[in-house]
Amino acid sequence: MWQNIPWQEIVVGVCVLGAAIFLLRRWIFPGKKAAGCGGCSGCAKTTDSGCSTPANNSKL
Amino acid sequence: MSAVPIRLALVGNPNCGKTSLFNRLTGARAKVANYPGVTVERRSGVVTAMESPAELVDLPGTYSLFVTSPDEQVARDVILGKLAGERRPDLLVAVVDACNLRLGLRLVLELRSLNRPMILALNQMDEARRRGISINTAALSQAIGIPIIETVAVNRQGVADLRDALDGYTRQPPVPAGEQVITLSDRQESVEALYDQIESLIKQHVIQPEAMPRWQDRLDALVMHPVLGLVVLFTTLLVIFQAVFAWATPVVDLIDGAFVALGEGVATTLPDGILKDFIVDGLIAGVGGVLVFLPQILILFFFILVLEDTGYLTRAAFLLDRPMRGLGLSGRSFIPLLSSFACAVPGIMATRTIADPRERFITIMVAPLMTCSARLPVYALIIAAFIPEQTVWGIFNLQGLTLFVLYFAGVLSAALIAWFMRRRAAREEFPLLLELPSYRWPMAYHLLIGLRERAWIFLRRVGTIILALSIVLWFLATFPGAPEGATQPAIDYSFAGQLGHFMQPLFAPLGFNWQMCIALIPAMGAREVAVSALATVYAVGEESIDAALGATLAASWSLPVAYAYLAWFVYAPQCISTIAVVKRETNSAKATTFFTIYLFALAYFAAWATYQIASAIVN
Repeated sequence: MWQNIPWQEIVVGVCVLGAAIFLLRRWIFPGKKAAGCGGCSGCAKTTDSGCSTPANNSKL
Repeated sequence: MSAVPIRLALVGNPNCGKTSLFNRLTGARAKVANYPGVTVERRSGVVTAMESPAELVDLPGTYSLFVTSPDEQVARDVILGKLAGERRPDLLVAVVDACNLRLGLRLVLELRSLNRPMILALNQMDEARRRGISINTAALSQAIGIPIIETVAVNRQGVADLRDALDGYTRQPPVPAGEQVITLSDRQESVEALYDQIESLIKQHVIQPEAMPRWQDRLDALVMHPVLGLVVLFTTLLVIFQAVFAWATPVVDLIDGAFVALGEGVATTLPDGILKDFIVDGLIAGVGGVLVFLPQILILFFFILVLEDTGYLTRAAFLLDRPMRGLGLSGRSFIPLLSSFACAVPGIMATRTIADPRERFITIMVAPLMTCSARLPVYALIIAAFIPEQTVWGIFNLQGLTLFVLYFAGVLSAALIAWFMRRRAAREEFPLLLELPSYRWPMAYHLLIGLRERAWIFLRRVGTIILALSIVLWFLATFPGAPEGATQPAIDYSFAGQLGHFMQPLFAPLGFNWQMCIALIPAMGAREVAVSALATVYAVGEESIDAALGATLAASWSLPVAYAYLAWFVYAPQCISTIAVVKRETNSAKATTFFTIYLFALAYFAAWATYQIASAIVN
């Protein structure tokens, strides 16, 4: 019975879905905890607040 | 034990060692450099080995509470408890560079006028002693009424004493303090009296040598000479780019070979099916294609870190101040632009140190033209595939020279655009005030932290964004499959193939084929994904992955097309995060739209011109 399960397709499907959700959460629906810099992973965040200080309000 | 931890704040001039001390006290590994402006936002951590819990906040450097730039404003607002959502610190830890006591004491005396609990960490005492500066700390402490702890943060000296002093404070309840009000008139009335007081303190408690060490003066005369200094700077940069290729190639080849072997191993081990295709064409080709460039990134940052730690980069900022003023910028723009060579995001955030709003705006607009490390894999791939590995003029490696030209093209373009933007606006003079650090041997501790940080940033990007984008791209390049009786390769019928063919007419004047067009889309997430996207698209399209990506590209693209693709990547703002941080820092949708459109237009024109000129020459 279990041999008929398309396990290769399931594994690949889960990976693709996980990757798509990861990207959507990162850029389209970032949520409250997202870093203000857009989450490029380009800076060294050594603390929780490393990139999340309220933005400067000065308008150029 | 109190439920709310005591809040401590590190306050001091730029480049006095606050972040080093922060790292030592909290066990964090925040970036440290021998130039001012490294910290432009406050960061916090928990002080380790304390009896009571204590939160330590590391603030951007400031010379005074009367601020001139946005980063100094952050420091002032946190100190005064005026930053929204930030509790006022219970205790201030004033960090003063013992070699620059005059400037440090100015801030300390201003802080003292706030009537807040404070401890003074007199940092870099080893360097002060080496220079013959002798400070009677006990007498100075008594004179200013603040406990003083001598420290050398970079090698932990005095850090335990400072921690004990902080621990002693946390055992006592904080002294309640009233609201402080500081006005500009206070400053005008008090600044002269303040300096008189500082001179008096220094005269009584400090013995200073007559002059700086002579070898440092001689070296400064060379590296800060208007002409010879520029020669030294450009020679140094040229050597760095040579090394990026010459030193990294053996390791890059080794990693590349390992991934090709891994792909072949998996292909022969797993049964035919979708899982094998996914692992070989999606994961190994996509992630491996980018990971091979780690050695080049580390070599580039090794040199930048060495230059930072020796104190040379601040000299370079002064050296470039005059030519940059001709372009409408100043040496203050140098540090943010330099940071942009790592990543435009922290570079743009570092523009908060620029007091002149117009200069800050221009620096933000041109910062992405500095070649960030995410472009390096794209450049390295195409250069290695199309530029022969040969020596020119007897000493230069042609590949390294090409990389230097690409970096230089970004710098030159930034200079021209800054000049063009500035000439349309009246300007106000803001003199460059930077602390000139003394020369020192680069510290292995700082180099290791810096390299570890860069390696971690790169690996984290590979393991998150690049991996996810590679998986999604593999899916788009694989599904839907070719219909029955199809005459074209299966990838032509896939989502990615259809999208690539749809985009291709727009990029046809640039010579881009549809595979190159596809790679531009995920590269918006992270530029280096262009490499993994090309690897995935070509791997899915081919029968087997038995050749390195470079060889595949060399067989598929012409030389003018390769040059045009490089030109596109010099200018295109292909990074969502950069656009997001521009929006955040300018707080203007109009400025962000202008930024995005002008850079894409510039990229399109540059790639078109490069393709047309190169085609004319080749033909």
